[in-house]
Amino acid sequence: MRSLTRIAIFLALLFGIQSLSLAQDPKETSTITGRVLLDGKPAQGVLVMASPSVTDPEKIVEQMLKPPASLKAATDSDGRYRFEALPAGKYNIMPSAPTLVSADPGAFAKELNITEGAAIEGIDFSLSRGGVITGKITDSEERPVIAEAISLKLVDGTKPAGSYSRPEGRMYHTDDRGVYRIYALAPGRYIVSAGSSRDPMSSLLAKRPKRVQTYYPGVTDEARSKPVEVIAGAEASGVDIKLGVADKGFSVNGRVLIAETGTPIANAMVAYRTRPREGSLEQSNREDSFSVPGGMTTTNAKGEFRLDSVEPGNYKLEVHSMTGVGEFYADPFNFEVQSGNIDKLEIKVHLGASISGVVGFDSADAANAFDTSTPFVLIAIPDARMGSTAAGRVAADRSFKIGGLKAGKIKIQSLPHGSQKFSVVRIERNGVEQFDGIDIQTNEQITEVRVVVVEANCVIRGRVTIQGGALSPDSEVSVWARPLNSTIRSSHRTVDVDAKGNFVIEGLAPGDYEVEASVSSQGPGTRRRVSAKQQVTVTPDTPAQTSLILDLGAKGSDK
Amino acid sequence: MNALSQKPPKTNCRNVTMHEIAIGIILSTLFVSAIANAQQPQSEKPAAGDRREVQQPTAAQEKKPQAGGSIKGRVIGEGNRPVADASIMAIPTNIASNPQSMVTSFFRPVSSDADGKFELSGLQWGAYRISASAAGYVLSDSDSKPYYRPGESVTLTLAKGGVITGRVTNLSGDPVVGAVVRAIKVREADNKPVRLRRDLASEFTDSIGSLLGPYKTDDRGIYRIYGLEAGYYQVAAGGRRGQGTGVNYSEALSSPRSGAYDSDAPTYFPSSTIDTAAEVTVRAGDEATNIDIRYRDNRGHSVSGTVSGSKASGQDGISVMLTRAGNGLVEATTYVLPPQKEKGFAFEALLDGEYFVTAMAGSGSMTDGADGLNISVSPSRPVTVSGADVTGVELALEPLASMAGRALIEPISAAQKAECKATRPARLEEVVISARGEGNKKPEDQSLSLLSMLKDTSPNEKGEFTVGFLRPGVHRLDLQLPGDSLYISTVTLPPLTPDGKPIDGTKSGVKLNSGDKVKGLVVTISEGAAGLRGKVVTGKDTNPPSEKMRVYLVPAEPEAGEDVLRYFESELAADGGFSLTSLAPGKYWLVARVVSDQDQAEADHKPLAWDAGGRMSLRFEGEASKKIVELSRCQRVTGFVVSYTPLVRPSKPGRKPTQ
Repeated sequence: MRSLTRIAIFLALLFGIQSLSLAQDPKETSTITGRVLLDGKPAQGVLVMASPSVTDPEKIVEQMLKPPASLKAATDSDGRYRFEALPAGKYNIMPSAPTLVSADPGAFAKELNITEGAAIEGIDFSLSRGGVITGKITDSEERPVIAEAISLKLVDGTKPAGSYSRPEGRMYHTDDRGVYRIYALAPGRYIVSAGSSRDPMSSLLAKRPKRVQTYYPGVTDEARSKPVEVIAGAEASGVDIKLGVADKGFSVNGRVLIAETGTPIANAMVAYRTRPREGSLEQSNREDSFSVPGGMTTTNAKGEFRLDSVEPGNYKLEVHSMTGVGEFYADPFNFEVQSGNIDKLEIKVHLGASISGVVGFDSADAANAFDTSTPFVLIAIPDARMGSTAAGRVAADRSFKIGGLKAGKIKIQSLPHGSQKFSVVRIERNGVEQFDGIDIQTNEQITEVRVVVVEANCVIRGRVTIQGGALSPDSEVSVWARPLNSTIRSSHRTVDVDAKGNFVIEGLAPGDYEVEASVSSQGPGTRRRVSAKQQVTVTPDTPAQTSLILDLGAKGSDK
Repeated sequence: MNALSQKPPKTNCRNVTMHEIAIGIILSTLFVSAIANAQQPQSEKPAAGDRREVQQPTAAQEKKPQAGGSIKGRVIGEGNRPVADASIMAIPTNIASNPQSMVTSFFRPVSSDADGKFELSGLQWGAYRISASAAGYVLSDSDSKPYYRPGESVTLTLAKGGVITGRVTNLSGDPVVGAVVRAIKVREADNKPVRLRRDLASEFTDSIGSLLGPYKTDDRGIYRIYGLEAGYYQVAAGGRRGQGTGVNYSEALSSPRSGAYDSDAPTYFPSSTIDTAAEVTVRAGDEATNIDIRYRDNRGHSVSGTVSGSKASGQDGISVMLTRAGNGLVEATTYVLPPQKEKGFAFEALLDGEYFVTAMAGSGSMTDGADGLNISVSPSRPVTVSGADVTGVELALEPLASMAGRALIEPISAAQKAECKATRPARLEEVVISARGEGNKKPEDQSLSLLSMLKDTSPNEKGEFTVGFLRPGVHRLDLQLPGDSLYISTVTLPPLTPDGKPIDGTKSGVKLNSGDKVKGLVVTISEGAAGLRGKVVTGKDTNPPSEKMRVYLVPAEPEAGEDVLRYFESELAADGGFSLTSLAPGKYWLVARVVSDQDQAEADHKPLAWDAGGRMSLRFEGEASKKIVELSRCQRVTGFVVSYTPLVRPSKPGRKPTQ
């Protein structure tokens, strides 16, 4: 999910920000009350914050750019807090107690869906004191290592408890004296190490050589590290690590060339990824085994590249064209760094098949509405799960070319979140509609393709009604629309539902859709899902209206 | 799965400002693999996702890089000791004509070795800004040139940055934990107003530092801000909508929660508002300690309004910046998101004070260069916050203008060439072209500093160039030539009628209205430039003058009197020495003058010959001085001594009365 957000903002910045739903008209207000305990006793003067929460990717962008103000309430002498006059909506409720940790494993913020006029009670938090680990990182000549990332791994103790602070600012990095201080740690034994960044992005951008991970008290073999005991409310100091002198990893060099002709590819982006470190606090929950970006470079005019400071390990290498436009595809390539530099890797790419043609319109209105000065991007999606999607940008004369394709069946659609709101409705090849996508052979160069687009300016409005019970505050209703009549598989559009149950789905091409609402709620060990569907037809002139009923009493599917 | 713990991050993001957006734009074109998952949010939510990759499409430019060469260099620190492991960045000026070169330089890692040495190899022909960065250190820009070309070498100096440290407590003396603390430079070490960072490269390296996150107080309320340039600072705790530099993508993208102090108005050291904030002096490499802040729970007031004049489609995101009047420091940034038909914006939690509000909208992609990125900017509106909210601020966006054309190097004959000593052949791609506005810079324009940085460009191998992102007004081309064998002979605008003569583009500059795209500029560069080096001494003895002076070369041929490109000027070094290069051959008078605008940085200096009055006064003075020098093709005159005798006439240079 983290990458989702990142993509959302990149796309927003790159293509402009798309329309966001406007359904908001909160009037009546609600209250939330609860109690905060510290080590089982009422905690006085703890600030509890209610932060508005969204799940819609487009709204996440909005919230990143315009963070809504949080509401605060302080606890009284009995540990009780109370939010008055909360507008209806979805909130994250959490204590702002940066030095404390949750005594309740796994529970960070509590997300509540507050309906109008609701009075929700018993949103309680149980806290305990966190501990501190502090120390100094030096190099082999005893000089401080500045802005070095510190990693912690909990080896035993309770399950990692949610801390009520985020990794505060630069807390996980050393300062100009080489000193770090990490607080709000749940009691337990931690393996402390330095030498690689917690955040792939900053390690990617800060181009200094990465050092091989060195574990307290100064070993590179994790098995020989000495765990540090963290006691609630206490400070483990002097956790100093001296980094080795030659711990700068290895270099990997090679060449990117076209397999068939041996022509080097200049200006290709070469990136490598690795697996998340096992058991680390920062381990992502993504299943992709090579999910952590390791580094990135570009090839020179001779197609050569060099990656420096690569730690021993297994990696996956990826090659893309810098412009992002489909130009070639690379054979899968994995490599392992053991105890030396790797020389002369040969990464073979293929120009593959291509599809080219023009963008067309069914109506003069659509043609007029199309702004050739705004980027419009088509993506070719292979039917097979193996294939990778390639993109092509539509030129000012409305022509396009997508290359670097593998053989198989290809569907074409417009890039979601683009600033041009047009959807692909039809693909024609030599005047014949391709209902099922385009069959493309190895290295085939298909021309004369006409991609017909329509303005995606239709709207579905609707309301979700809950029957047969009340929603628990932590349940989440989501709604999406799936096109029915289109042979081109275009995007589902998922939106948030407001506190009154209203939703708006915008940016749809005219046509028939299936609208589905579902709610998930959590029982002990189970996740129950209730859903309802309805078919609607949308046209540009009239927004489609739907009404969906979620019957909580009905037998849902357990997941 | 636990629904509570698996929520996607409800992100908040502080202070995304201009250059962060620029970086975002650039990164967004680069993070091919990150965007590989772009499919998922849209189409894969209800169904289990099949993993596919989308490559981020941008300009389909098929430009084969031309081999250029390498720039070698060295990074040194205190006592000329080598600095190892510094990150070296080379930012080309030809981003507009070749965006790929920017990407390449950004991602091809180069760092200094144990001797501080580095080599940026495989560079295409062009001009590059070179910077070095290392955490906790600051780059001194006094000893390096603005641009380097392949084949040249560079020495960069990194000095230990200064530190501000202290403790933040609340009114009852308890530590304030997890509050953002910012150090805001208000004046340079030499007491002058804050200068813009020299270039994009520095901006990038600064931003990389900020990727580590904002400085925050720890569990004891202690903060420590390091790597500061020498100067005078204010220190503020709390408030999320804070300072320009220092957004932190990683935190913004990963942190689900906002801090308890983030929506307060900031408290300035020692415990006050902006007006009464105490200044903290940071000396190079020194530590300012006990900068303790007593935190106040300031609510502040809001400033709100609307933005009009964006593109009809309304799809471009608009950022609105609030800068402090007087010094132009960005105090807050907010965004207007497209679907809001009324395009409203609001800044919350502002302290009382005088501000300017400026809106900027952008669409398109940076990889398409100046033509691909459409930017509109509103005139800045003054706003005073004084104990109450301010509403109804109206901002009207105006598209920026651009100038495009062609540069060419006029060949000289073999016979002429023989007169000249062999010099390194210069290439068109190494010429740096920018545009300078006629008007004086206003402080509030500082918020748009990125635009002025993007303005610099270089021609492609065909000589074509576009100088973009220009605000309405009169602009002149400003060229920096590679080496000293070239000079600029003409800058022309296309004729008004098809059979007319090209218009001199230097005499009065080019008037640009909002959205203008002027085309057809022709810059003719000639080989065989002359050079003149010498020294100015005061009349009585041979001491260099104590006052700040400039020397001017004034064309002595009567017909050249209105040719702006025949006027040259230079600051005097401390020993009175001057060096004028890239001179057109011809006869010149030499004039030395005391200058009054000492506060102006050399880079902001407006040549006197830009206006007719300046030219006239220089010619008058030159004629009177009778100090004539004749420079022939390729001639290098050295050791030229000028004795300065103040004229009876007022020696103040005639600055342009308007603006």
